[in-house]
Amino acid sequence: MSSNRSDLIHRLWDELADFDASRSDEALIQFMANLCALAGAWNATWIGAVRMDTSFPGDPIKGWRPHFVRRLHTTPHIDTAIQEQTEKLEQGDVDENIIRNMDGVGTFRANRLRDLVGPEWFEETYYRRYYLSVGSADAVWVASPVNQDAESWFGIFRSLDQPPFSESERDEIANIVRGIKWFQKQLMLSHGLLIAKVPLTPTERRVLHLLLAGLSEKLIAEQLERSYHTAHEQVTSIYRKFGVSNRAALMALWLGQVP
Amino acid sequence: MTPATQEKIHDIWDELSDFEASQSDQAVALLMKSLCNLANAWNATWGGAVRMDGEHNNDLLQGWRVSAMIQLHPVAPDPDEGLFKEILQLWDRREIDPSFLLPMRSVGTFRTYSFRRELSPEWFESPFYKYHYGSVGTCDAVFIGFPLNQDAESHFGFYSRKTFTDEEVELFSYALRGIKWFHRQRMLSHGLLAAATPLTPTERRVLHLLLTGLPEKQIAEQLERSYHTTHEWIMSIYRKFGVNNRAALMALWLGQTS
Repeated sequence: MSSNRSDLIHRLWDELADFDASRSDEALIQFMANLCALAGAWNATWIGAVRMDTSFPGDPIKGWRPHFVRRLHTTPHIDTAIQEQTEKLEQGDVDENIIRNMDGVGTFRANRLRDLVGPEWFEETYYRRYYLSVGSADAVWVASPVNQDAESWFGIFRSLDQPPFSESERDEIANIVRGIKWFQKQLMLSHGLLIAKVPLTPTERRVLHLLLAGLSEKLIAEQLERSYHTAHEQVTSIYRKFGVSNRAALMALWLGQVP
Repeated sequence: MTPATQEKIHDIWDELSDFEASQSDQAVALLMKSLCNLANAWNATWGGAVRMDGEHNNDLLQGWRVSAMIQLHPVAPDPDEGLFKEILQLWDRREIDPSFLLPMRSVGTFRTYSFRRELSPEWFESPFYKYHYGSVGTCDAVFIGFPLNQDAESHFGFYSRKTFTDEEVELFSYALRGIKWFHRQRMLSHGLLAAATPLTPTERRVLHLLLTGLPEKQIAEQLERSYHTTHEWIMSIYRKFGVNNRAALMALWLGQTS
């Protein structure tokens, strides 16, 4: 790795560390934008995946489901494609590339599409529908286990007029993601995927971020333009989901406490 | 550095991220110990450096002082009042040894500096080297400085019975360059970032209990002190960090700037 590139990677990590936990969504978008710029890619996706208690018999991915999907750039077309994929997954209709990726569940892994599937896969409908038609020709998928039941995934995409990822490009992307487990943990927490029993609603996530910024409930209500009573209800519902009874205990989860 | 070594360092980073903020001292000990093993060092130190207010025109050390210091292995003969402490006293009295000037080069940038690479062969004949380093078998030392802002830096030192190889120096540098979030927590937990005054050892114990989210009553029980005394300590910590309550204190650890 040239020293110039490693400087860029270090700057990217430093920038993440400079964001406060209440701005983890912005931090994620900036990270994905920087990662694309560094890796010469056009789009990126983050997925928070969890293993559900119930998996049906023969479930090829043993109960693992993507719970939150965040894209750097999106279009209605991409949204529809992701929605479709998610529905198929729910029905147990899982594409080969995802099954192969999940073979390594529980370990850190980085794969290009062609590390996962053979040449014939690129002739099939799945690739045409969910890659080519949304403007992506190649992808690197990086999966980081956060605990036994939660994984953080990044997909980095090259467009139709960009060359496919080389092995060394894949390894560099892997290296960048490998260094930010602490951040991926925060991301999972802030989506309610790590400790909370139920994922958070969008409003709860807004309230959560204000809680993490240390704002009083009165100020949170003002920011949300809601009554104190409504804001307090939302705060209480967040505490319930995380199984805590006050703010200090909630914030302690972000500082690594295990309930 | 081989990919295998790099992977070992990434595993250490993972382990660090699994520690609670309240276990910052255990985390730093694990980091120092792991890196000593990987690079054949016999001891390690962490120092939190801050620059004092005021004009420093005539000060070769530009107002910098080491406000907190941790050593992996306490050094004989007197572990508490050990050799490192004496060095810091000389530093504070500005009885300047050439080795004190090494960290001043490129202050404010991430940097690595070491004895054998940067000091003259004569220095290793000096009474200063022989007393403070040679006597305990340290042949070479390498330091890694990580600036958090203009007035605060986190410095790691590693000590070896032989001259560090380039690969070993590179290993330290790689391992410590990628974890700004951890350097930040280190400084915070000693009251060297965001706080007006460094924390006392008791305040640090209380602080770490505050970060676990425990109610004040239980913190008092853990400390075996009265609620009143404990509350006083907590108030003093809040004052030093310039916050009014626990949520605002914890928000500092989550990256809020006061």
